[in-house]
Amino acid sequence: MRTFREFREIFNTPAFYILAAIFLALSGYKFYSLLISYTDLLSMYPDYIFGTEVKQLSDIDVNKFLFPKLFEFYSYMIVVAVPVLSSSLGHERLYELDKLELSASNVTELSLIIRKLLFVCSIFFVLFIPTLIYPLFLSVFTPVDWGLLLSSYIGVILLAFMLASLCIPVGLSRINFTVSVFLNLVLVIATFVYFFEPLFSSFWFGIVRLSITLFIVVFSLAFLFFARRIYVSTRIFG
Amino acid sequence: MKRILLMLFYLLGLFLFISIFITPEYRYRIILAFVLYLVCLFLVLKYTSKNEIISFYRSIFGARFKNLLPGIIVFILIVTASFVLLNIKQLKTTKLDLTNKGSISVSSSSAKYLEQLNKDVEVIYVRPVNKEDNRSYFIALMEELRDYSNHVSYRTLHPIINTLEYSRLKNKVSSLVPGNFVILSGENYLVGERLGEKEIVRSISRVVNGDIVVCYAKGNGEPDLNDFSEKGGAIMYSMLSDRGIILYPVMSGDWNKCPVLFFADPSIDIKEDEINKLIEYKGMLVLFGGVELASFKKFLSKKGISILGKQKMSFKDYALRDYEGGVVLDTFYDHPLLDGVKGGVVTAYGYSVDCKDCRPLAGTSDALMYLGKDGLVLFAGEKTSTNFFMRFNGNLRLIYNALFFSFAPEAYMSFTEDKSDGPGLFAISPRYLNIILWVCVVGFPLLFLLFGVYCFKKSKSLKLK
Repeated sequence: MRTFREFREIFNTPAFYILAAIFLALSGYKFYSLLISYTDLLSMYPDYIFGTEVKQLSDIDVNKFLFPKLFEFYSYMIVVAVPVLSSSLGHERLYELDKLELSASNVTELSLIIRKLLFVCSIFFVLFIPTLIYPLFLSVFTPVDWGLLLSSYIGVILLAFMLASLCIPVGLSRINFTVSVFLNLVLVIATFVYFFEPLFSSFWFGIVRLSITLFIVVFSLAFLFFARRIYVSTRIFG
Repeated sequence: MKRILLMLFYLLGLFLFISIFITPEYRYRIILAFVLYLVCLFLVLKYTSKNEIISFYRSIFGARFKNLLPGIIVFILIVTASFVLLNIKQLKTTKLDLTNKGSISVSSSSAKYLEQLNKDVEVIYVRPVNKEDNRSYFIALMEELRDYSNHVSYRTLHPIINTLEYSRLKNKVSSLVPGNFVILSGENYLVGERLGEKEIVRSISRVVNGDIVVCYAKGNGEPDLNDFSEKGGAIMYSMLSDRGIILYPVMSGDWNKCPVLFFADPSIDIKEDEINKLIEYKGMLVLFGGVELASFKKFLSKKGISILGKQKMSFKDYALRDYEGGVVLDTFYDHPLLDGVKGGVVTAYGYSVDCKDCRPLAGTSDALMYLGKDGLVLFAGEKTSTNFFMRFNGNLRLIYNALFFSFAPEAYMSFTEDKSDGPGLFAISPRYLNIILWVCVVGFPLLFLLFGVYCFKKSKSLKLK
């Protein structure tokens, strides 16, 4: 079970459940408020005004109205959460355990870092599973575009993956936790707002672009290699 | 206390760093402030946690730098390669549309037009300040359009963050408001209200081809294009010219030289010879209002259109419940002339019309008021074009579409071939909304919390054992 050490660390902490409950409450409220906005919007187009032609107004499609905004909201949550999660990966206790593991088994530094990266992504994965209840609720009233949802979920997981790999070099460099969170936050917010946010717009609307997906993977790999070098040099030089 | 002060200091740094990007007008000053801040930060950290800082700098630039160097080189190479990847055309256009109806995919007619586009155009979305921001939708849509043409570029603009740029644009395009988009091509520009594939592509085609000049019949009591009073037509003139349609006032002697002739709410009868001129007129005649005048009634009857009773005020329109007076158009037929007509069309009063070989376009729930026929578009509502009634967004769209499509009817025909089924609409009762609120916001997170308590207790008891 050594492989899931990070998992056990976090899933056995009450703080995780408290934060997850807060996330779900916020996410639920966002969904609810979007639903209210949608019903308000529909009241602007009663049937007797536009007749059957109201259906031609594609911008009032519930799937296009609700889910992109909900996933945009998730992306902001990820931007705030990833720096904190990634910065905690290099803390003293984990570092000592990693050191022991590296000396005792055939595990390489790169696989250890990838494991840490996947751990950050899987936290979001676990957090997003309960959010499937929203489309299920919606499917009671109207057909849900599951393809659009799939692409949005792919988008948020890729975003978490990319931002986590961006934060891991600083997270593993064993500097003060607060400084590390601060540096990562600055890095993530600046890069997200000015470079990455527009990349994900297509995902929210159901389109998975090959170039963007490749870019995310390559970009993340580059940071992984960089993180590995930092990790190796930290271990060698203390 | 020390930690709190340090935290506040870090937050100040974060604020300054973000300000560098979000306030381009003050960038140099903020960069200077940020450099000063970094010096202060260095000094603060040096005296608070000296050893940590030194070890951190050594970790980067010290002996281990040699060890890091290959990693940095590989990293730079990979990042460069990934940026190149983003710009390879074949990769750029390869995508997977997972939606049921391809809701954001570009129609074949638009794609065809964009592939033939040979002029550079820039689409700028002015982000709304108080209203709903559709930035993501705009970006996703523009990315789709860019798949078909390298001549299309886009960006978004925030009226507060990019104040100077916004005011420069506003000086050029006076009727621009946040939430609109502007299309620039050389010296030409055009404003659009509703974000959508067809709307943007049409606007691009308009801006590339330059302004349309429409003859505006004058001398029969039409609103004056320079008059800003409630009865004037200055707002219509200004809004249409920002959208690429220039109204050019003409007297009856020049009617036959015009490809499109627009009558907006005439209040004085035209003469007998002018009626004949209109009958013989070969271009496209757009008649808004004036149908209560005997001369126009006569002209219309010769065209096979009869004017029936006066329309009563309609108050049942929910969207305009606060508005007192006026006839509200509430029935819209499926026609490109009505694309983007949103928020209702309101007129002071109107007449129902009847025509056997006309194409019905719109009306009130019990009468037809707007129709099309070869060489003629007729709207039987009165005062639609005056400054007072131009405040209703639908009125501008109605006039704009009527003039735009009249000038080049073949243009709109080419954009109508793709038709989607439209979204499924639904309504949720307040009771269900309450249930959703309680389940999603309270019940579900609480359940997760209880699950956490259970997991935590279990792991604790295992540890104790």
